[in-house]
This record gives sequence, C-alpha cells and structure tokens, in this order.
Amino acid sequence: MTLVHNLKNLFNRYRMNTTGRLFFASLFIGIIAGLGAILFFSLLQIVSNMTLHQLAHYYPPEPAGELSGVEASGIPLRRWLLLVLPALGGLISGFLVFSFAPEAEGHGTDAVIEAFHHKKGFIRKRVPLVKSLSAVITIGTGGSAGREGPIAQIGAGLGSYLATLLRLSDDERRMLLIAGAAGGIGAIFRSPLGGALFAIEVLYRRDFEAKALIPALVSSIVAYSIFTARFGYGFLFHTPQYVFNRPIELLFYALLGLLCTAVGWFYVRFFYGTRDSFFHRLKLAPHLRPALGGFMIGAIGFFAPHILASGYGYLQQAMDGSLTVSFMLLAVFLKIIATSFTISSGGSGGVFAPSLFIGGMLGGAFGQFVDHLMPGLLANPSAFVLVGMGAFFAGAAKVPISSMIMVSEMTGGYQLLVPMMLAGSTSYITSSRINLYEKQVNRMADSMAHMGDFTIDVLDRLVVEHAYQPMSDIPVLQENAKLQDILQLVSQNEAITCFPVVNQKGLTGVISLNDIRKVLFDANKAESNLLARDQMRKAVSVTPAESLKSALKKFITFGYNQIPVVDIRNENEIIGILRHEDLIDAYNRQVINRKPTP
Amino acid sequence: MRLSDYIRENLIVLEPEIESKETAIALLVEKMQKAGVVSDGKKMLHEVLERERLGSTSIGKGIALPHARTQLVDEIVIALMKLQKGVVFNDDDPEPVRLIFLLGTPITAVAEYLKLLSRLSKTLKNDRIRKDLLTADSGAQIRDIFSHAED
Repeated sequence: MTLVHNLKNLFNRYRMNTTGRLFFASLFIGIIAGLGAILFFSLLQIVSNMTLHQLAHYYPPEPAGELSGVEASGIPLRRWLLLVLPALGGLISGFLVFSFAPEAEGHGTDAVIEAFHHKKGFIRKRVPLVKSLSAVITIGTGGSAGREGPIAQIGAGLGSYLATLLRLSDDERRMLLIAGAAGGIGAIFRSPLGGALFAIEVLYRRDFEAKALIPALVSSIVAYSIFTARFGYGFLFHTPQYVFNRPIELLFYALLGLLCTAVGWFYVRFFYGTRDSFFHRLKLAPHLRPALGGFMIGAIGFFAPHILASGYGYLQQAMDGSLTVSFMLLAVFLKIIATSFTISSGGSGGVFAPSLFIGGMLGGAFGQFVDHLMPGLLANPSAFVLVGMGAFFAGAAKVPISSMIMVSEMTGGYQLLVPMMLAGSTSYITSSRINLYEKQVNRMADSMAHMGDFTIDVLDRLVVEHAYQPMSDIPVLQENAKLQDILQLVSQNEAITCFPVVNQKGLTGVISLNDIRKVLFDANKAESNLLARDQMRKAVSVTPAESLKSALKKFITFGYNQIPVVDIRNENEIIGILRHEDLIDAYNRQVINRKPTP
Repeated sequence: MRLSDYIRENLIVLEPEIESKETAIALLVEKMQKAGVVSDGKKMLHEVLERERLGSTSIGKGIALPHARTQLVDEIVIALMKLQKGVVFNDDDPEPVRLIFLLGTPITAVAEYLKLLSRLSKTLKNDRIRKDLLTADSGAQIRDIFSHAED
C-alpha cells in the first residue's frame, strides 16, 4: 500500500501525463506479475509433485528447459489414480471457482479480453487469487490445460486492481490490464517479446492494441527478469540448431498451414461444442461439472497418460524425433478431446499449451510422413514440430505475430521464422471462420473500448461548411417581437425549430420551439405579454470554419437541435443554419466514402 | 414546482405610499437588494424599466408582472406588492393595478420561467384568490393563500 502511495506521489510531484503514469505503473505491475508468476509456478510444481508424482507415481517426461529435478520413485505407476485424480482436482477447483468467482471459469484469456472490451478493464480483485488456486489444482492434478490463460488473468487482474488503487481513468486501467497479462505470460513462458505482443494482439482478430505496446513491453521485461532470476534463463524447449536453406520446403510448410486450419476447425468446434451441447445442458450444478470433466479426462489418461497436464515433455520428445507418426497423430485428437473435457466443463486452465501440443504433434506427424514419402527432401523433419506449434495457434487464436515469436522464444528456433511466417499466415487467412477466443472482436472499431474514437475522429476532420444549410433570408426575430410575430414566423418556417433573436447589434439569443410550444398555442394573459427576449436562450453560433466536433459539443451542451451559422469575419451576420441531422448526414457521407466496400 | 416556494415573506411589501409604477418597481427592486437576492439593484431597475418600455406587463384584473431576464440573479426570485389605491401600468388598460409581482429570472432558466409564469397567471385568474390576496394583512397570510391554492 505504501508503494501505491509513493507511486501516486510520484505522479503528482512531476505532474505526469498518461504516458509517464503508465510507464511507472507498468514497471510496478511487471514486478507484481513476475512475483505472481513465480508463486503460480511454484504452487503448480508442489501440487503436481504431491499428486501425480507421490500419489500416482506418474513421472511424465519434462521439457529440457524446465527440469524439476524430481527423481522417479521406482514404484510402479498406480494407473487407477490417473482415473481419479483429475476428477478430484475438478471437484476442488469447481467448488472454488463457482463459489467465489464464477468469472474465473474456463480458460481465462477470454475473461481478460471481455474485461478489456466490455468492462472498462475491470476485474474483481478476488479473481487473481481464485484463478491461481483453481488453475493450480486443475493443471496440477493432470487436467489438460495450460498456464497462459490463468497467468494472463492473474496478471491482468493485478493490473486492473492497481489502476483502481491509483484512481486512473478507464482507458489507463485497460492499458494496465494488458500490461499485467503481458508480464504474466512473458514471465511464465520466458517469452518477453511474445508475451507483450500476445497481450496486444489477442484482443482483436484483425487488429492490435498498439497504444498498449510500451506498457506491455515494460511490464514483460520486468516480470521476465524477475521470473528467470528465480527459475533460470534459457529456453523452455531444447532444439537442435535448425537452418532453413531449402526453399522447396516452403511448399510443405504451406500444406502444414492448411492442415492446421483443418485440425483447428475441428478443435474449436469440438471445444465449444462440448461446452454448449454437453456440459451446459447437463442437469448438474456448475460446481460439479469440472469433476465430471476430470473423470472423463482420467478415463482417457488411464490409457494414454501423455495427454494429461501440459504434455510439454512429450512435445520435447517430438522435437527430438523420438515419436512415431501414428503416436503423434493419435495424440493430436486425444489432446483435443481431453482439453475440451477439462476446460469446457468449467475447469481452470489455458488453451495455449494444449494448442502448442496439438500443433506440434500435427507438425511432427506431417514432417515425418513427408520424410517417409520422400526421404532426404526435408533437411530436418522435426523442424515441422516447431512450425506446427506456431502456425496452429496463429490461425486458431488469430495471433499470427505473437504465436511465431513465442514459439521462437520458447525454443530458440529463430531460424525457422520464415517457415513459421508462411505456415502461420496460410493458417491465419484460411481460418477466418474459426475462433479459439470467443470474446475477440474484429477490429478496434468493434470494441466498446474505442467506441466514439472514430466518430470524433471523423467529425474533427469535417467543418461546418460541409454540412450546413446556407440561407440568404434567415427568419430572425427582433428582441422585442411580440407573441403574434413569433407565431407568424413559426408558421411560415416549418422546418426551423430554433430561431435566432437579434437586436441592432446582432445575435443576442435563440428561441427554441420546444421551450415555447405551450405558450404559442395556448397563451394566457400573462404569456401573451411575452416578448422574444423573455423566452430566448443564450445565443450560440458556429462559423463555417469550425469543426463538426466542436459543433457537436455545442449541440450537446445547449440542447438545441439547430444552431445559427454566422459569418467568420462578422459574427453578427447570420448566413445559415446547422441542423443536428446535417451533422449526422455529413458524418455518414464521410464514413461511406472512406469504406467503399463494407 | 410549487408557486409558494417562490413567495418569500421578506420580499412582500404591503400597502406603501407610491405614486407611479416606476416608484413601485423601484421599491420592489430595493426590497430584493436588501434581501441580497440581486447583485446590483441599480442595474436591475434599469433592466426592468427598459423591458417595461418595450411592452406593458399588466395582465388585466388589476395585476402586473414586471420582469427581467438578467445575470443579476442566481435563481428565479419574486417580489410582491399589494396596493390599497392602484397605479396605472398601461394606458390601454385603465384599471389600476393593485397586485404587482416583480420577477427576476436568470438567462439560463427559460423553461422554469415559462412554467412559473403559466402557473402564476392560472392561479391569479381565480377571483376568490385575488380577493383573498387583496384583503390579506400580512406577508405570512399571502404565502398561505398561495400554498392553499395549490393543495
């Protein structure tokens, strides 16, 4: 709390603008997100050690960059426990989530996206805690889900809470939400650039929240440094030094991109299908659904333990080239099913890790298949594992850039950027109809967070001259016009609802028909004495050179629907009238001209 | 909106000795100034009289509603005068005025002002209320008449 207080003092002492405030707040969020990631990861290791290792004696392989150092006990695998553990985890996590923070259900990233677009960046402060615990239990007991969703929601929740403590604006809270998510992801995957890019890319299908780039980068750098200071530097996966020097391979990479789209389509359909057509229709309390989901995963894990938890160790084996085509191909589909059961039942966990697994296995299977078919053509079939990881998520989650960067940062496979670009783009453009993140919107223009930006932007570029109705013979009222004069003018000018009132010096006021309607048609004795000056409102006018944005402000401030237009050199000369609908027309014309095809 | 909320006892003048509508209005403005509801009495008087020159504000049956739309008041204020022997407000209307309501209205309060005016003239149309007002002998009584009229 004192830190928050100091931060506030810093803002005030230097009278910082938004950029300055966000910079320092992002630094601070980076620290919390980094510590949050350490805590989350440590808890995850403790829980999976207690359950999968010590209870079930299941020691799945680990990725080379994340060895826990736990030695296998030598006691034979208690396979039946694999059937039970995920169900037990589901029971606890379901109870936690649905009792305390139902919005922490599912994969987390969507909740962050929704908070950004629809909730002014607001996440309840209990969410990070509930999400951490439930995700640790879901994943730690073998649930097939990843860490990106939970850590994104945890980081974003902390960012949102900090913004509230600092009493920042809604816009700034959204930026800190993104910074928090970026820090969390950048840290836990040791992918600082990828985490930052992911956080700004995942909000839209076809756009970036570019304004949040610097806060996201700052937070991610700090969080990454803190996390790696504790758990060590280096890549999550170890891979041979791939080189890309055979352009002919691009043909196969493009094919892999198409394959990713096909499997991605099945993944997304199955994932949300299980939720909407199965789990949500069950006559079962939401608290208990994750337990059922867990039991269903256990049933698969009983026969195929490699689909449990993150499965990173098996992905490492795929990169090492030690898995067969049929094993990998089967793993793709079993993983899709297991992930759907885990997350769609309401369990807590991300879709990124499973997507990496699915894409990697698919790529691995395809690479080996091509290698069997045309031996020697491919320099290294296992490079397809990496490219598959990047391309699959690029298309399914609509994050072509960050997906590529994250896979590169996790594997050190920067040499494969070109194949990833091709496969990723191929998958991205052919998969426009599928969407792993339901809450994504197409572009900024579709987001509530940017509502109004564009209208104001357009109106700022238009001037009154483009919109108003020039009139040579403006119906004006003298200040001392009597009621019958007003009545006459009103009946002669049906289209006008706001009459300028003038004296010898010029415009002195405006009479709005709305104000005087009753007086006009049903005047009593007192009212029939009224002169124009008794009934007018404050004079307001616009000039032809004024922007429509400024005119709109006047419409809103004064509540008239028509405003007199005065000459720019002589503001007492009325040259026309700007109606509210003229402004709207001008806006519409401009928007239609800008986008000839919708 | 209740009419009686606008009638304040300290802004009521009962049966003073006056000889013209100008002195009557001046007395009412002075009352407003003393009550601290108008920021500049001299300017206010000028504005009210100027308005009066543009068109009479008498509404018949011995009633007049002189007024100004002005920046000199912060909210709508009404000062009231009752006369034993009336004064002439308008040459076209020979009936002497015995009830004068001076209204000061902020420039921005158009809608409220028009509503108040309509309420006031409707109330004063009632013969009995007019008679009661003319026979009242204290400010408190006048206030009561308005609040009963609305119940």
